[in-house]
Amino acid sequence: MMGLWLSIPAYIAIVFLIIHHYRYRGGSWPTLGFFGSAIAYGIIRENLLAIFNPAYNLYGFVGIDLWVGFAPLVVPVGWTFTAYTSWYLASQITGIDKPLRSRMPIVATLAGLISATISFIIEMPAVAAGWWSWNFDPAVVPFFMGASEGLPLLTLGGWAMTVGIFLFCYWCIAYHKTRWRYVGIVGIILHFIQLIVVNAILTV
Amino acid sequence: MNIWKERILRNIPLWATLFMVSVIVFVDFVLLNRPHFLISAVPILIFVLIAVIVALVRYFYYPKEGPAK
Repeated sequence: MMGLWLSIPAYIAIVFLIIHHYRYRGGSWPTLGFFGSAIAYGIIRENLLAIFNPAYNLYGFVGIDLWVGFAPLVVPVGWTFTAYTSWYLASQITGIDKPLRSRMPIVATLAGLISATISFIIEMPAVAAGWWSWNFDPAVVPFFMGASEGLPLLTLGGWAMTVGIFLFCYWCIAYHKTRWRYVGIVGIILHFIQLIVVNAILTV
Repeated sequence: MNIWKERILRNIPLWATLFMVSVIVFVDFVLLNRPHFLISAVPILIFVLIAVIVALVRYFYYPKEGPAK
């Protein structure tokens, strides 16, 4: 039942984040827009990786959890939690709550770095707790604390890049009515292609 | 509204982060019995690195007018 130690706190936390977004970032539709798109993005991402790379079978949750295709729901929910809290912390540090145009890359990069630090804590017990496993080749990808129960350092960059790119594309689409919208859409598509290619190369 | 209630509500993401980190550190330290010093030290070092980067960015990016509100 170790899976419950991840899924129940994640679902509780996401409810409070939804309340925060609803209260301080624009009501019903923007809240639905952010959390809906982030969770949908996570589900599509996990399913694409699993479909295009059969070796990508990482999740071994024991306990109560909901699956959407190849993705346990707690994964996109937990990832959305990290993206939103990273956005909040980055906006608190920089003083930019609603990034526009040239300010987007700075806040997105900072949010990505913050998400890497949060992901470090989440990833450390993940393999030992049986939440998921990694199929990366230890000869190619360095592991922290050993390949058996440690974490591949590549995943920290993966979390940072995923959060940074998602937030950047979300801001492009949600906050702009000009060509930035197309930048956001093309960015998400390119990101999916890049994830599939890199994962296929690095997986054992 | 009570100012403390407002402060607590406005910082929900911070409390949520601390809550999740506490639960997961509890899982790692207590349930899995893996008390590694580095587990808590490395993220703190990364936070310090981020703070330095942010200080430099704010210094060079907003040299006069300060950060946008």
